[in-house]
Amino acid sequence: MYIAILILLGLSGFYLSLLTVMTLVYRPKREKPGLSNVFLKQSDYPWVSILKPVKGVDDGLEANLESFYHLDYPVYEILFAVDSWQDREVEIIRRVVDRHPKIYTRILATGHHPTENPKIHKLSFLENESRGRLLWVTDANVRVEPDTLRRLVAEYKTSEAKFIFSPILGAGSNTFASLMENTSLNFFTSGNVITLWKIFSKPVVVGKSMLIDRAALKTLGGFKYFKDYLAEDYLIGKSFMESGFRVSTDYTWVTNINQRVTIKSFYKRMARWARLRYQLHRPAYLSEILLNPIFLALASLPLLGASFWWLIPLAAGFKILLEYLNFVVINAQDRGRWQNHLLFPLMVVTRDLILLAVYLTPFFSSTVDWRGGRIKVGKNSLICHKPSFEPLSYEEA
Amino acid sequence: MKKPDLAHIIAVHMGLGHLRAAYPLRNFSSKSIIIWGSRNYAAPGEKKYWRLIRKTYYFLSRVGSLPIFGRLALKVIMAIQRIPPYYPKKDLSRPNLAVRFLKILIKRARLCRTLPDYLASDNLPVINTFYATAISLESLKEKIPSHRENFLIICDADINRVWVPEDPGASSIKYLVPCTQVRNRLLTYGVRPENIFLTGFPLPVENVGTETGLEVLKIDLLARLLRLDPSGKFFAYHRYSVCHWLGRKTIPEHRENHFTVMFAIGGAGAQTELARRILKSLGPLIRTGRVRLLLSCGVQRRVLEKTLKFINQQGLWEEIGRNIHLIFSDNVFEYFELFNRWLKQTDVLWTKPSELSFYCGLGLPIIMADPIGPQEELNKRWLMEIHAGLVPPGPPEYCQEWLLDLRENGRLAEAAWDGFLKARKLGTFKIKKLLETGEYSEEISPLKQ
Repeated sequence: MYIAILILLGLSGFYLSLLTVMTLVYRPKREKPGLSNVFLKQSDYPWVSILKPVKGVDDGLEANLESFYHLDYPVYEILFAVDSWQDREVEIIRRVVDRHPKIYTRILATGHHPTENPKIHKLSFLENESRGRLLWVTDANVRVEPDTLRRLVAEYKTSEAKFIFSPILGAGSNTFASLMENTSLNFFTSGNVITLWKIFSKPVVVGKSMLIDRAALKTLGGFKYFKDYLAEDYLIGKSFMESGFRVSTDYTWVTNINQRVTIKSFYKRMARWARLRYQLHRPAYLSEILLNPIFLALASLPLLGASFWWLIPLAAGFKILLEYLNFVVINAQDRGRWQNHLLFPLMVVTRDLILLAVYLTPFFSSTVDWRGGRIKVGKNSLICHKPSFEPLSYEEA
Repeated sequence: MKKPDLAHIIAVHMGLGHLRAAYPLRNFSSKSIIIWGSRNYAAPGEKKYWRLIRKTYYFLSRVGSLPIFGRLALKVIMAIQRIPPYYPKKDLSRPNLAVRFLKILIKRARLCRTLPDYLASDNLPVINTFYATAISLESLKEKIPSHRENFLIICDADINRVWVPEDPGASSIKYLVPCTQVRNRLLTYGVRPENIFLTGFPLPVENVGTETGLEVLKIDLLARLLRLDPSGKFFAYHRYSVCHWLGRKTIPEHRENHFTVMFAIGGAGAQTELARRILKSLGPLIRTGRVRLLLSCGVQRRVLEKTLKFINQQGLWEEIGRNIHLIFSDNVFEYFELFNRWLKQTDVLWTKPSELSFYCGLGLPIIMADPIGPQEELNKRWLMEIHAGLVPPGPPEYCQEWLLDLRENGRLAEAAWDGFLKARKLGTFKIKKLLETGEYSEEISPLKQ
């Protein structure tokens, strides 16, 4: 037993160290050798349609949208989709659009489909209205650097991939819970995005940024192909891979602004993602417990006896150290705020205890809260409707 | 004014065959088609049985291609679905193991027990495309009006005893059969002759036209024959026959250089690997536009993605939308709609001899992939008997060579023509007429059967 627990803790420590190293090596804004040589002619750049489904007023929405109008890229258009013209975010979008009349922009009110993935519903409309050879899907809470698109397209050109995904940099922590959310994104999410791709060539796609070859997407029937699933981002990447299209990333990060997160909203979002991951790949989900050494150390005490109390501060200290390294190197925006440094150890321990509760939620419920509704999800995050909605749908064996 | 409903259509999702048989009848009921055992229909306890049956069916269908276990699985399928030899003719009315097992499922596991409740609001006839629902309905007679008619469409050219209840003489199930062999078989199983209607398999009306004119079918068929006979060998033999039956005065002299092959992968995806071999062989012809390939991927995302992978592996993905088209929808009825639409442009249908065998009545030559199960073996025999089906003369890796040869010497055109002449194509109309008026007649003329 003693050896088994030590092995588990060792594995946990090893993988967490690996995540840290990977995120540090492939940190945001690092210089990429050879990037400047990839393109010589402006005419080499394909037309890009930036598709932005928007729901609600996200943190820093105006500045986020504004960043897409300062891209160092010659030919692109921006298409927004909202539920209704009465939505609060419409005014903000219009304000930004009015400041940039030279960049072709459209806003569509797509309504809300009761039985489809709401984001895919919007993206399908945007896909039909767009003209680009490449579609860049980004969420409304995403902020980018002027060279982000150029880097992504460079990767598209050099790798001949049909799908480019990105790690996520959570930033803008103004509250304790924001710091939890952002460190979780930077360490856990992006760490896995980079590590699993680099070592196992397995794409872990987060829908905050996806550059997609339009023609390749069309062979699957367009975004509609994913309308019945909630984890559309993961499944898009998986379907591309399984269809023989090359998928890639050049580790160009996009920033996800989280400024006013509350403990409750953090818990709800994490619980939703946990339930989706559980439905997508159960063995991988079960192994995620390794990412929580504080819990492993706590759980081992009854088995090992009180004399092993030192495992708890050791695990906690080790985890705090790794995450702090990640925080200091990666999150330039948040490291300038002294409160974040002060609260960091407490935040890591609190967050990991919350994440333990989150980890257990999929075992008790498969219903997720999303965009104002409660949706039951099945295998592969299939949206399970009330029977009256789907008399003709096919049920996969 | 809204037309009154003619019948309830009940299918099950066990591969695509039973659903395909139901699809052309979808307008008979304003409630469309009831897919029994799917998420919306059947009690929760019953759904798990259907799911288990479906999973087993798909599993056995798919593993058939594996070397050792596959052969074993095929043997299991063959044993379960075994159809005894027809000759010497004898009484086969004694129930077999499958009939007894079905009886246990109905009585003990209460399969379809809530089906009568779904039909309780009226007394319309019921058309089933799967035996279990028809036999269950009959066994639950106390729950349904005694004079409700219970029809069962047969989806193969020969069938196992399980399609008939334990006591066939006492059964009131009315069989809508696609060909003479099935009628003969039902008689040996003890079904009363007055309960057998040789209607033909229900084909999609959108591919046929009207009952009296067959306008769509005739136009598509002539265009197909012209594409399939570049050297004129077929028309040298059959010019007058074609003119007579298609109501033409002359045959156009112009011939096109390209033709279209549709490969149907099948509902369970059992033929996916064959798609790879076909793509590999036809790749050069596809690139030059000489062959257009339609890949019918059904309704499973796994099949579509695997097919796309093969296309990518052959470096053919830029041909998608040009000379390669993928037929897929995750909604089964949308898929049939797409499939039927593309069928109009299809010149050669490459499929295992499933229920699609009866589509030869639309004037489609069938290249037969390896059959799975005894009923498909007998579908294959039926296709060969009427000369509408061709066994591939070489391995799929060389289909580039033999497809062109078959086309060049007029064999594909001949198979298309024989299918049109000899297979029944008015099944949908005859079933409709039977429901509306109770009238039924058997015709010999190719234009009336």
